[in-house]
Amino acid sequence: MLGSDFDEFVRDCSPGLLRMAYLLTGDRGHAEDVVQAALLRVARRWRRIRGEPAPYARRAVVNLAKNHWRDRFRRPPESSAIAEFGYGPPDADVLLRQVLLPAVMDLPVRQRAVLVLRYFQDLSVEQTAAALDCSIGTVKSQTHHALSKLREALDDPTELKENDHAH
Amino acid sequence: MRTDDDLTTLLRRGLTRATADLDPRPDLACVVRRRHARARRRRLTVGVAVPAAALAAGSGLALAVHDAPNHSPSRTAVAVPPPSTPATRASAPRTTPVRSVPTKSASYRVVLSNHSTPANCPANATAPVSKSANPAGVWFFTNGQCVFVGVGGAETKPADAVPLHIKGYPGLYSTLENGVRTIYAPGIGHPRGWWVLKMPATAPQDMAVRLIVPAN
Repeated sequence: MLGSDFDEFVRDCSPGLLRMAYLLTGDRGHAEDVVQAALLRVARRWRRIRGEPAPYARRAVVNLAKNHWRDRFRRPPESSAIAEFGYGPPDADVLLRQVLLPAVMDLPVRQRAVLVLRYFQDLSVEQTAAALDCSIGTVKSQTHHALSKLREALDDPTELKENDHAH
Repeated sequence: MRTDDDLTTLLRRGLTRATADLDPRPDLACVVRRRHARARRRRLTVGVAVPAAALAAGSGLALAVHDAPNHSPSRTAVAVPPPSTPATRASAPRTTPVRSVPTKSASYRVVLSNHSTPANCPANATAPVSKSANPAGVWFFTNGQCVFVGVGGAETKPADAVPLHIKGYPGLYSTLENGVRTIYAPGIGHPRGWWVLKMPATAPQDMAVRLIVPAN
């Protein structure tokens, strides 16, 4: 049975998991679905992982978000993730809203996951590797590639815009 | 050209700002608990039904045999013959045999799914959950004790049998007499029409009916 410690875990960790899922899927509704499914997986293994459930939950969110991203072409079209990021607060930095975040969403899902885990969740390289089930070297190389692409997008935003229109 | 530090600082700020207004629903823990409980119930149901259905390939009483050091022969499905029907005389006029079994909405096969090894079943029990040839039946180990469920057949069910309501097992009847509960399950695979399961009144009925699975 799930005790009150499970409720505490959900209360403490769900905001971070939801935000991470949102950054990985680009859609709030899908992010909520992903978090619920991940927490169900946590609940099923609660007795085994209750000592340190957060890494397991993070990994579940990443895996489910990957599945979501992989299957996105099988679903009917919906509002694009990049468009959703356009609804920022009125004083939001234009560079962030119109260039950086769309560029993040354009990255391959693994590179995006690396960036989210390292620079949003503030995980170490080792923790990121564990969450993504890959080697430390892969995390470093994916980080490097992802940052290079972002740098290109920021240095030459017009290129990104043209690419967007091409999609 | 931006440095990595500039870029990651900008990235942190952007990701934080993009998700600043996201909060999970307040009843998320309750929702997950409910879904977990539902999924658990479903898994338990499937866990009982699937092995039983897999064993239902043959008619008669099939026993799922586990590794038991004193069990021989091992891994053999054993059919327990139902009580023999009285032989009809050759000179008897040929009439359409009157089957007392009405048209039934449900019918069952008798099987036995996997169970844990009993700790204190009788000395003549030869398998984790053992069959017994005489009397025909099965020993279950449940709630710390061994319970014998006799398996037989009957042409009719008694008139005083009352419907027995167990979820997932329609069409059952039962009687209770002298501390013995008898469950009648319609069975088209049974030559006499009804499977009869006999057990102590104190034995849990939902455990005993795991012996049977719908045949259709």
